[in-house]
Amino acid sequence: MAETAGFTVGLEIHVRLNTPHKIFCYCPNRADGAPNTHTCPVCLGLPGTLPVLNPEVKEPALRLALALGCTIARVSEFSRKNYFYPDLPRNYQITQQRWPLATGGQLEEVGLERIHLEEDAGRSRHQDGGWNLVDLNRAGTPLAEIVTLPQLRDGAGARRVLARLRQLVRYLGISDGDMEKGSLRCDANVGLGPGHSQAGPWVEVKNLNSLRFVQKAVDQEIQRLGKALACGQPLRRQTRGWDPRTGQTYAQRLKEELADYLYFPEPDLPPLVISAAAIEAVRRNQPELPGARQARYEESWGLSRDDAATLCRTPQLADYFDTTVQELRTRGFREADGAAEAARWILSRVLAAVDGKDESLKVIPLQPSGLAALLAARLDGRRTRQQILTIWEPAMRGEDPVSLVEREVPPGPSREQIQTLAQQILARDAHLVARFQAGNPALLNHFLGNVMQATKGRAEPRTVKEILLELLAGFSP
Amino acid sequence: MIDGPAPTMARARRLRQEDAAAFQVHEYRRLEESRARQQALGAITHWLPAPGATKVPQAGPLSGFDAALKANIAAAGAPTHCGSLFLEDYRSPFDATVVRRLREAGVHFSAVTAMDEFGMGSSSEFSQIGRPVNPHDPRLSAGGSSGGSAAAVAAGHVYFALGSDTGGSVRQPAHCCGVVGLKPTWGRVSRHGLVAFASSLDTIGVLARCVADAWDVLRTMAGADPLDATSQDQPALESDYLTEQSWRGVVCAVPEDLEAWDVDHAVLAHQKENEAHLRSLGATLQPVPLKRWGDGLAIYTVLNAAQAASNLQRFDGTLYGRRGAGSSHRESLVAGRTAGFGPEVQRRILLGCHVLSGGFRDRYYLRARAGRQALTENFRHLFGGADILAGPTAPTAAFPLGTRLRDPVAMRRSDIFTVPASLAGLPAVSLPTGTDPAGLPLSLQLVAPWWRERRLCALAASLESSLGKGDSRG
Repeated sequence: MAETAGFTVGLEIHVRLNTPHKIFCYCPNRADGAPNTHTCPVCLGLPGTLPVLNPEVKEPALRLALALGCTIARVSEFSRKNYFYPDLPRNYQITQQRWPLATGGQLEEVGLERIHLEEDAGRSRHQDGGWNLVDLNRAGTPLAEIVTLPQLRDGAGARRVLARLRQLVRYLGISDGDMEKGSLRCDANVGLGPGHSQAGPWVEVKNLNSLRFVQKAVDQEIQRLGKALACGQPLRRQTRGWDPRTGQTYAQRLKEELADYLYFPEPDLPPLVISAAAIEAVRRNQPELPGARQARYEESWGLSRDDAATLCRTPQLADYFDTTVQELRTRGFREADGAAEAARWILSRVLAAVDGKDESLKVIPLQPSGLAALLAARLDGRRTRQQILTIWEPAMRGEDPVSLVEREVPPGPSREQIQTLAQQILARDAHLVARFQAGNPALLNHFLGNVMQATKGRAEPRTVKEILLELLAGFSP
Repeated sequence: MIDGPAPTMARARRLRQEDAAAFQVHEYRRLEESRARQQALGAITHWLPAPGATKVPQAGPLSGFDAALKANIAAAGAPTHCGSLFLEDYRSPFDATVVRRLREAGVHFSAVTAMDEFGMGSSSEFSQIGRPVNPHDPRLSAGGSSGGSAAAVAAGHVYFALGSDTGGSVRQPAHCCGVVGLKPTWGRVSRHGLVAFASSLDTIGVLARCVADAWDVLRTMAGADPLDATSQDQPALESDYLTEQSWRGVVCAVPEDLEAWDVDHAVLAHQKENEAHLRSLGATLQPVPLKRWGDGLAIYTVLNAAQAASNLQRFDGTLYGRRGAGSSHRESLVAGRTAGFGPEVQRRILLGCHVLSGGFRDRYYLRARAGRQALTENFRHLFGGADILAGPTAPTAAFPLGTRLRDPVAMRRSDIFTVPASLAGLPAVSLPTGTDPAGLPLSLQLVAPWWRERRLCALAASLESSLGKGDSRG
């Protein structure tokens, strides 16, 4: 579609930081609970109260800024954004405007303009009869807002960027990144040309609370604007909402009607000063980020790109996998072997059991050490895949994997027993051995099948194969 | 044995030691008498209950002294009405840090005083709850915005009162009523519990009958507070009684161009007297031009209106305060604010929104901010060569009620000498030093470098006692 080629998309993403307390007072940072129970005179904005920056917010904000490669401002400043709204108790929001905490940086394919700190508003619920119910539990909870440059092209790109950010905040441990709960929220700006041609975006779609909605809303707006342009209709700058029931955006207000926020520096808060030492301390303690982890799985352990990406999708899953590999290493297996085996079982069996809820990996009965016990039996040839499968369900239910391996599975034949069986079979089929030796390697599978059958499938095929090759090499009928 | 004017706390302490019972009886009678007049003076809007038996002040340094609270300083359960109909029924659920600290030192807050609505005014006539008059002459203004606090101290209702000083609101009424008005360095005293007017200028100050009393109150309530990020401890005030400091060798800057400033003859003449007196005490006078002070009022008007507009946004009638009728949130908040706010408050809100709005922010607000920085630099330069600055507190003595009510510019001119120290965040004291021919109080304002309250008060106290006033009086 030629007419949509020039559209560019930028995102404004709010991340609720999971500090124990709110950003300007010491109320619990919890948006849930009975309405208006996590409040105090400060976050209610009662006359005479003053905001005091809670130092808890600094570390998570710095973690995020460093992970995104931003330049951290040694001195940043808070401002007031003034507007009347029932869920904003002071009728101004304390945010960072002119001097944000961090600038620059990169998130996937899109450059970042800035990251700044601000407070969240409460929530209001419209009631019948024109009433509004206001819950201020959320008022004053800490947000980091990430503003990207308008460099995205379509909904898929917007979705990818947002998904990557969600993964990142989870790895950093600074937010649960749950879009349904509002811990991660996204506004999308759609405009024309690079930098939205100075004039800013034509459309801002507010409050998109799922990855799917972001993608749909962005594509819809690009189409809508493209059609309007093609028909020669004048574009109007506007703010639009997203209706999840209809799956459509709708006009909220035109930009001309937008409030002037009367920004000015917040006189109640001194500038936020970040020392080089503080930045260094955070940098030192930064966890391994998803990109690095995925590269390690691919390059050091030889996993496929898809498998590595899936295993890295959440820190819980990657940790589960990593710990299993480490457990296997302590049992004497090479990391690459352990990783291949662990990946195979986790990607199929374990993921099926947690059904997308990776946070439950921390509490499922089969923990990495137990899984390693099962896989070790397979890796050292004591058990076959089929044998492990027969004890998988009880292991997942919490039965002790070590005793399952030892007791409930009849042990497979020993090497000597296999050797004896193989010798008998080769002696019986001596004519076939001659053909094998004359240059028919496919006959190996025939011998293998016969030996396996003779062991009732309990032998490890790899071991049988080894023994057969050994015998065949020195066999003379 | 204890006749005459209401005693200072310093004198009361001595009298109490001499004969506690006799002092108590006399104080009771004096207070009764003073309070019999209070209706006519209008300084007090609410009396607060006496502390319960269990809360009888312990042996704190300020035990047994009654004090009054300006109506914009929060005390749990007390009306924090700010002189506004909007907050007529509002009771604060918490104590301001200053209230808590003074109570712990034994103070009983017995009354809430009238004030210009939200501190906006210089005569207390913009009060919507209570209209204080000047105890020296009921036809005159007590000054403002802490007019009720100044009048309550001058009339002997209480030993001292807390006020707030944003552009002179402690010093100017102190001058009008003939009491001491002390404004600390911005950041010296926690603002937690002070209803914000212009946050970067607001300070809590003291109105008292002598410098030593004001000092005692200041050192009790000063110091960093975890509930106010802009409060500071450094350098700390030493927590002992004030010793006077001699003026000998002190370099004292005085305004050299006061004639150019549309100042009353009596004020001008009194300034000359004060300068001569300071010289006789051994001070070296250093005349300095005050041309920058002229910009001060304009800078102040812009900054103060902008911050006030934002600070007063919270008054929407949702959680507390006056809620108007209307079919939508917006309608009812507009109705509540229109009915609840008086004319001066509405004027400043409109002005504040204007100077912050799109096309005007650079022209007004940011320019005023730059002007404030230049003025602060001027002071830094001045204090590079001088120890202290001494000039009039206000261009006139107390003025008749009604004369400036319809002329906002004339009203604001009352603050022309107090606003500069506010813009620079400097500590200052207004000290009654004499009277005009009509017998009305006139004052000297002393301004000291940042954080030098101790020296400021020590010099002010020695000037006070050289005039036969203060602690040694009576």
